[in-house]
Amino acid sequence: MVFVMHNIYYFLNIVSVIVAAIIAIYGYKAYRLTHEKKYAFFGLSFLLQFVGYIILITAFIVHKTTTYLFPGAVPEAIKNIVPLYHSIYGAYILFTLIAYTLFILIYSEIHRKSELTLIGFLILALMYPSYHSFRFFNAVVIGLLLFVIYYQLMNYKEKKELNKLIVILAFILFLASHIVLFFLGPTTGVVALAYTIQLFSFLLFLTIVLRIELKWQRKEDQKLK
Amino acid sequence: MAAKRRSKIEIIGDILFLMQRKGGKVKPTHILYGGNLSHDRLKIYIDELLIKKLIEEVEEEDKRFYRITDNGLKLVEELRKIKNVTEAFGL
Repeated sequence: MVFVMHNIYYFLNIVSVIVAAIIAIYGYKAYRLTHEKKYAFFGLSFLLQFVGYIILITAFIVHKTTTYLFPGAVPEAIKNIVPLYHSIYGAYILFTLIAYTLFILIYSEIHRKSELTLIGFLILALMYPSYHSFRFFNAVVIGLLLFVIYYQLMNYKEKKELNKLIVILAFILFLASHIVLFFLGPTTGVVALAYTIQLFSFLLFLTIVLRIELKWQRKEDQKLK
Repeated sequence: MAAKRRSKIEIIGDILFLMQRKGGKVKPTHILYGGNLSHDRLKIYIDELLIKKLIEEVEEEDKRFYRITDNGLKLVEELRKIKNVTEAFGL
């Protein structure tokens, strides 16, 4: 039962993957039209989350299914998967760190190559302890998310809109998920809880996309009438 | 507090939204005032929109107009959506 629930939960995270892809496409379109770096960073941030989720979900499903199919014994198949699984986890950590850092680059308007290179090195420096310490990784992400939420609150104060509020709530849920992981550790139940909270964040993003698409569709229908 | 400088996407959007609002065809001066642009910047944006075939130049009674094309109208809708998404994220 736990096995089935676990896999259903990861399957549900396909929603996150799809939403991340849609928003990445919006970012790419904006960049294609303007060639402004902030849109490239925005699209790239969601693209990295998209790729990160795909590899993580695939890795978990393959790992759990293999373990389920070969209970008790440790077959060669699992032995081969373990190093791959660690590499995938490393990639996920790197993508997550870059994805949130890109938001800080956007809000702080950092575009100069020298500054970007420095920040790139900083991420790589944080990568090693983040890979080896689950708590360290979550502490770094919590710090990054606090910055992102601060900028978004400032943005909301300038012009209050429902979509902006939804984005803030989504990022607060991301923050909550990493706080849960930081304090409770990486047990199966806690990880499932944290990623379920992140699933709600992506559902909030989906709400924004649907609000925008449906609003446009209503206008098209009105034109036809 | 100083007004926030408009990005390129916002200016392109403003020009095309203005043309759509005015029925699809406007004089250059309408774009100049409605788009809140200097003459030099207007020329840069108009040239870019013409090259990308988003607007076209038409002459009627010795007067020059710019008309939004079908591609331009599609872009207006696309821009509205992109603008809504990027604004929601504070970009």
